[in-house]
Amino acid sequence: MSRVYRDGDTVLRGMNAEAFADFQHLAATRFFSAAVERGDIVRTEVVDGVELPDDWAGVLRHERIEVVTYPYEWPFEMLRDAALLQLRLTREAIAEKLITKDASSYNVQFAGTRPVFIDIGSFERLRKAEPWPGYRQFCELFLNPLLVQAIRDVPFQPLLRGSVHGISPVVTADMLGGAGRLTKGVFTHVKLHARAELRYADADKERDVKAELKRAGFGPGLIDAQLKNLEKAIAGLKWDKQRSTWSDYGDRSHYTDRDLDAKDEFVRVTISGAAQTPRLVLDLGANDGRFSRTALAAGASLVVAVDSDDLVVDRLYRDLREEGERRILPLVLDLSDPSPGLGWRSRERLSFVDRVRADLVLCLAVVHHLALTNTVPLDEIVTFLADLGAPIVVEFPHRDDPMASRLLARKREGVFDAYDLPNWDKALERQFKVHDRITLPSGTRTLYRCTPR
Amino acid sequence: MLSYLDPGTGGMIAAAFAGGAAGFGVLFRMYGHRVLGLFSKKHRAQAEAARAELAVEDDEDETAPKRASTV
Repeated sequence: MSRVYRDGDTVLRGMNAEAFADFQHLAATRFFSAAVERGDIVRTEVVDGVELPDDWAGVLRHERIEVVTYPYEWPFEMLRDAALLQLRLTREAIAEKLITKDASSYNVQFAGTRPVFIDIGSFERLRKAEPWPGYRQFCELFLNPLLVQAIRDVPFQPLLRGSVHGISPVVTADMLGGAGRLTKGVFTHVKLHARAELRYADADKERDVKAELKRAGFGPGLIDAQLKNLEKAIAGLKWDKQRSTWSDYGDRSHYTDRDLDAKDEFVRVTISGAAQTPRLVLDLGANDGRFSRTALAAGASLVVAVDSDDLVVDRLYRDLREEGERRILPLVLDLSDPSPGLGWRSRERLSFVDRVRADLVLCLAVVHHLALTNTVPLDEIVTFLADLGAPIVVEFPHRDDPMASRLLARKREGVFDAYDLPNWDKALERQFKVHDRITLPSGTRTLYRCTPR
Repeated sequence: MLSYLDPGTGGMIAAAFAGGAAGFGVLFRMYGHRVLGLFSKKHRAQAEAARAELAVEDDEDETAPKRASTV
C-alpha cells in the first residue's frame, strides 16, 4: 500500500513495508533508471531521515507535474500515446520480474506534450502464474475509449468524464455492434473478453478455471505475448476524422493581418513587459495554438492550450509532437462546461478551475461565443475569468464585428441587446482593474490587459 | 450479488487468446488435463493435489476471488 500526499509544492508518497520492498526491487532494475532518464517515469527519490508513522516503511519524493490533467481532457492521440507508454513500461518491467498491478490512464500525466508515468506504487514483484492484474483496467481506460472513437467516431471524452472507471468490455461490445469486426484487437479484447467475463464470472462454480489455467502454465511469457498483442492493436488505431466546426479556423481568413499582428504584439508585450515573467500561461480557445506560441516566444515556460473541439486539439498535439515542441499542453475543454470534481467524494479528480492555476490567462476571440452561442451573461463570463485567479488578456468583439454580427444575425431581435461595448466594460471593470486597452486596426474589436480586483 | 462476481477468470481466458502460441499452449494443456482427468486416476489425483496447493496460495492472495459463503 502506498499513499500520495502533498506538502506545499512537494509530492510525497508514503509506503508500507511491502510497497517499499517492491520499490527497492524497482529501483534496482536497469529499466527503471533508463525510463527515468528518458523522462518516461517521473523522477523519484527516497526521502531519508524523516520520522515515519508506525505503518510506514519509507517515503518517496516525486518530481511535481506542473499541470495535472485527466484522460477526458486529452484528444485521441494523447490517450493513444499514454496507452503505448503504459504497455511499454509494463513489458520492460516483466523482463526484470516486476509487473504493473493496475493500468489506469490516470497514472499517466503530460509534461507539455510528453507522457510521463507517475504511479511508482503500481510496480510490484511478479508472482508466478498470476495474470496481468491491470488487464481489465487497461481495456476500460485505454483500449475501449480508443476503439469507440476510432471505429464509431464517438468521442471518448464525455464517456470517460461520465465514469472514472472507463468503458467496460460489455458496454464497448454493445457500442461497437458489428462494426470493427476486422479491427485488430476487437475480437479478443472486447467481444471475447466481454463473453468470457460473463461466462466465468461466478466464482462459486465447481470448476475453478483460474486454477486450471495456472496449472496449465499461465505465466510471464504469456503476459508478455498479451501485452505485445495489445501494443499492436493500439499502434494500428487511427482516428480518421478530418473536418469539424473549428478545424479550418487556423487559416483565420476572417481576420486582417494587421489585427493578428496587433494581437500578437499585445500578448508579447504583456508577457515580456511584466515585472515578473509569467511562467504558466493558460490559452482559452487556443485552436491551432498561434498565441500559445507567441506566449512561449515572449518568455513563458509552459502554455496550457485549451479548446472545445477535440479534432482541433488532436491536430495541435500531433503538430507539436512532430515539431518536438514540448512546452505546450493541448487539452479538450468546453469553457461553458469545464471539468467538474469527480470520483470518490467528488474529490478524487479535481475540477479544472481548482487544478490549473496559471500566471496569465489569454482569452482571445472567445467572449462572443460564450455570450452569443452559449448565451452566458457578460457579468457571468467575467466571473468565470476572475475564478481563474490570474491577470488576463481578453478580447471583446463589438456588435459590428463581422464574426459577432454573424452570430447575432441568427438571434431573435432584442434578445442580445445587452451585448455591447459599454456593458462589457462595466462588467469587466467591476471585477478587474484594466491597465491597458487598445482597439484593433479593424476597429471592431477591443483588447484589454487587466488584473483581478 | 454482482459484487461477488470475479472478472479475473474471463480476463485470463482473453489473455490466453491474445497470447498467440503461448496462449494456445496454455489452453491446450488446460483442456488436456481435463480430458485426462476423466480417464486416469493418477491424473485426477495429481490435479487435485495441484489444486490443493493453489488453494493454499490463494488464501494468502488478496486478489483471489471472494466466495459468497464467507460473508
